[in-house]
Amino acid sequence: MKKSTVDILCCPVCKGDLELRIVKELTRESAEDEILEGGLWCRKCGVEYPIREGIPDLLPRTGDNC
Amino acid sequence: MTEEIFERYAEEYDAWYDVHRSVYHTELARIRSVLPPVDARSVEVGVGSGRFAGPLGIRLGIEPSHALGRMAYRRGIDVIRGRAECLPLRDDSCSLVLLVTVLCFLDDPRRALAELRKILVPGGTLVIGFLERDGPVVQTHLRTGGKRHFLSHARFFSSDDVRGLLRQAGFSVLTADSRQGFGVFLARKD
Repeated sequence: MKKSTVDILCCPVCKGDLELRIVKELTRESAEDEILEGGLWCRKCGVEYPIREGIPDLLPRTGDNC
Repeated sequence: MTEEIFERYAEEYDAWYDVHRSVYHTELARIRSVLPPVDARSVEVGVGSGRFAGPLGIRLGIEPSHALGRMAYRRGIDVIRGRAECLPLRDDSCSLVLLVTVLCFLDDPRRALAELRKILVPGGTLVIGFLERDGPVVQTHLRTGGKRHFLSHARFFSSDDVRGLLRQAGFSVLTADSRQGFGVFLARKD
C-alpha cells in the first residue's frame, strides 16, 4: 500500500480514523514508499486491520450493519 | 458465498479475459470512451484482478477477494481489501469511481451505491459497466448454464433497473450506452 493512500482510508464499520502501524516498508527513490506489513488500528471499534504483503485487509470485523 | 467463488476460481476468472480477448477489449474501449480523466483519487471498486484498472490507469482498487486482489497488486494496483457495502474510504475522498461487472455480485446494491455516493466528491463521477439482464450474454448463460461459475451467483439487472437504482442513490445519469448486452453508464453525484 502506498503511504499516501492511508490519508483516505477509514474504518469500514464506524468510518472513524485509523492509526497506522508500520512493521515493514519499502522505500524507493524512484517511487512512493510502500507499506508491506503492519496494521491500521481503529480505536473506537478496538480492531486492528492487518496489512500483509502490501495489502491492507479492511473487510469489516464487527457491526451488524456491514 | 460469491466471495468464496471468487477465491476458488480466481485463476479461471482472470483467464477469461485472455480467452475472450475481443469481448474484453470491446468492453474496455467502451469504458475508456466515456471515462473522465483519471487522477490520483480515482478508484475501481471490485477491481478483481486489475484487468480494467490497469490499462485505464486507475491506481487504486477495492476488492473483497484475497486471491483476485493479489493479482491486481501484481499488476501495479494499490489494492485495499474491502466490501462495496462498507467501504473503508473517507467521505468526499474520490473524484471518480469505476464499477465493472460488480453490481450483479453485490449482496446489497442499494447500500453499495449509497456508499459510492458518499466517497465521491460533490460532482464526482461514477462509471458503471454491467451485464444487462435481457442481453445476449446473460440470456445465453441462463439458457445453457454456461461455464462461468461466477455468473451462476449473479443477480442481473436491466438498464432500466440500473437507471432507477442510480437515481434512488442520488446520481444523475449523464450517458447510457447499451449494446451487445453490456451497459456502460456515466453518472454524476448530484
